[in-house]
Amino acid sequence: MRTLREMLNETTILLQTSVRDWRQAVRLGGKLLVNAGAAKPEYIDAMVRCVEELGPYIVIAPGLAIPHARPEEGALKTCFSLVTLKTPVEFGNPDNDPVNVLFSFSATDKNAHIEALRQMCTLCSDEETFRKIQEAEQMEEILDLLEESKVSNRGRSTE
Amino acid sequence: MLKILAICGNGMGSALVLRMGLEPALADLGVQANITCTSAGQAGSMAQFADLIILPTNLLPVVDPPDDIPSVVVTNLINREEVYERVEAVLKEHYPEELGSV
Repeated sequence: MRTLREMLNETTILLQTSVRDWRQAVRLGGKLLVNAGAAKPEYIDAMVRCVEELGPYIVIAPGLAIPHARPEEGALKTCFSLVTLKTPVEFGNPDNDPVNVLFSFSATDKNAHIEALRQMCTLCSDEETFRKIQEAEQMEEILDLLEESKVSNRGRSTE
Repeated sequence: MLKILAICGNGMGSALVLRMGLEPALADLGVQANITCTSAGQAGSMAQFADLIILPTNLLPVVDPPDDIPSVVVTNLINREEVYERVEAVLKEHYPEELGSV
């Protein structure tokens, strides 16, 4: 199972970008997955449709959204992308708006992405780390955070 | 052994995140459970077989949990403390005998 560090790179990270609204933010996250060869273009439409039909529940924590669609809606590989926004956008989620960090993902089945998702949650649930992600200007800052978390994960396991 | 249903839109994003928060909380509370992740679309038919339902606050307009099954509603899904406190409160009220059983 690929780690978040193996999925995030110059193709799948876009920092401090400007968007009109949540739709454009979700589309950008999807576009990065398409660029990485991890999803078909129609997957992007499915990601937007998911929020339109089911509401802004993908905003799982203050400032953080996890846009995605179902495997059969055009996912080719299991992959994550990261988009951060210069100016946060509203998804219509009163508790967790506004959002400026989007970890979008594609998964080839319902479990393929669990480890990367777990890493993402661990990173973002640490307030200091999440603030660094929100403020990062350079891709290297994100990669450093991933390396640090990998090291600390290793420290806890018996590897 | 409690049967817990974690619900989100597709059953593969927020529901998995909820399960990740639930597992350590249940282990700490000494509760043995089987957690199934499912989509909003399938939740209706699966809910009747569950002892407990957990879902994000913002899915409440889409998924209406049955009145007779205790439900835990979470707003910040990656906040371990919030998940812990909310599930503990519902377990104490509805399944006190399960606490500390393992």
